Amino acid sequence: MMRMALVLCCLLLAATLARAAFYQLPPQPPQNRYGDLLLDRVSSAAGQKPVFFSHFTHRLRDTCRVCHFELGFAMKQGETEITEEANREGMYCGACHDGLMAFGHNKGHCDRCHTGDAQIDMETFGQIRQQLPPSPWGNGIDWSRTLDAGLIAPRYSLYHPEEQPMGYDKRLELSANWSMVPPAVFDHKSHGRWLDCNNCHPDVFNIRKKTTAHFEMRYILEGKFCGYCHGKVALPLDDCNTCHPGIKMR
Amino acid sequence: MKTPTLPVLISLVLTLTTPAWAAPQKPPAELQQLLADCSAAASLPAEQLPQLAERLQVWQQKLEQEAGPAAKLWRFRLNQCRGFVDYRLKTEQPKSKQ
Repeated sequence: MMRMALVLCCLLLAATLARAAFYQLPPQPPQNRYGDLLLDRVSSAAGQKPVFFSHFTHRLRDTCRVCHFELGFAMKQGETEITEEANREGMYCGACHDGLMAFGHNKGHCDRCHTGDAQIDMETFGQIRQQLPPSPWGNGIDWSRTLDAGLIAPRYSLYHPEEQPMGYDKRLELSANWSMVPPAVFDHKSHGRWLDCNNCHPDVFNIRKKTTAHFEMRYILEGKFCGYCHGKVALPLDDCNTCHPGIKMR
Repeated sequence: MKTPTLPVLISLVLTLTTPAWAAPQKPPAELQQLLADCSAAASLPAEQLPQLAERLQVWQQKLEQEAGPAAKLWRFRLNQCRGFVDYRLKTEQPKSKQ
């Protein structure tokens, strides 16, 4: 009897360790800082402070597609060389920060972006967050519900306002590796409202080459597949239930 | 009453010397059409994809020689689009053959 209890304890310990090893979720920053970036590809080298960028404030106005497709910002930080020259020519940040649509890229405004390190002030953040559906994760805002309710209307296209997300609504059910974990559900429609197809295909999800069998949590936690956005900017991975609706969250 | 000439002069000099804000450079009409087609690449019928891929290749080659932020940005969009079109061509080919 004693021996069986010992074996059971060992098994439980092993399972806990295995789970911890596979699903070590990264610590989350404070809600007002979730999705913040400090961009320093060329700033410091040019004698300027790095640029603070808040996904939170920008996604209120624009979908991911506007910046990560139309304006040419690569999804990976540091891959795009954003220069002052380009901004002044109306590219990258300068496409909106022109002094008309948003504050301009001219003297007097430099330190609004070249802060070195900063965060959105808590008062503004709190005011915005209070008006939007809450979530325990990320910025503390349920962005899908926010969009559904029409509380924000981020632009899908900066240059062609008539463009609308394509109505591709295929839902994929992906079986989990572990038998006790219910399948993950991927909804194209909810992603298509924010993104262009080419944001994910083929670079992040090359189904033909890699097949869906490789969409494992260990890779996702390494920043691959869903982890490309989820965990950094989009809904963090702590929220198991949104992707695995069968999981009962405590 | 004394005219505040110095501030007026400074303002004038600043106004004249500060570079005007440049509007984003517009792509040539043909490229603009191609970029618009790229935006709709996901819903384009499969039989039109090879033609789009050809047009993309032509413009990718043209823009390879060009420098400057605008060309860099257009290249980025064309590369993204090309990747997706090639992906669709590869993934949808077996279905049409069946």
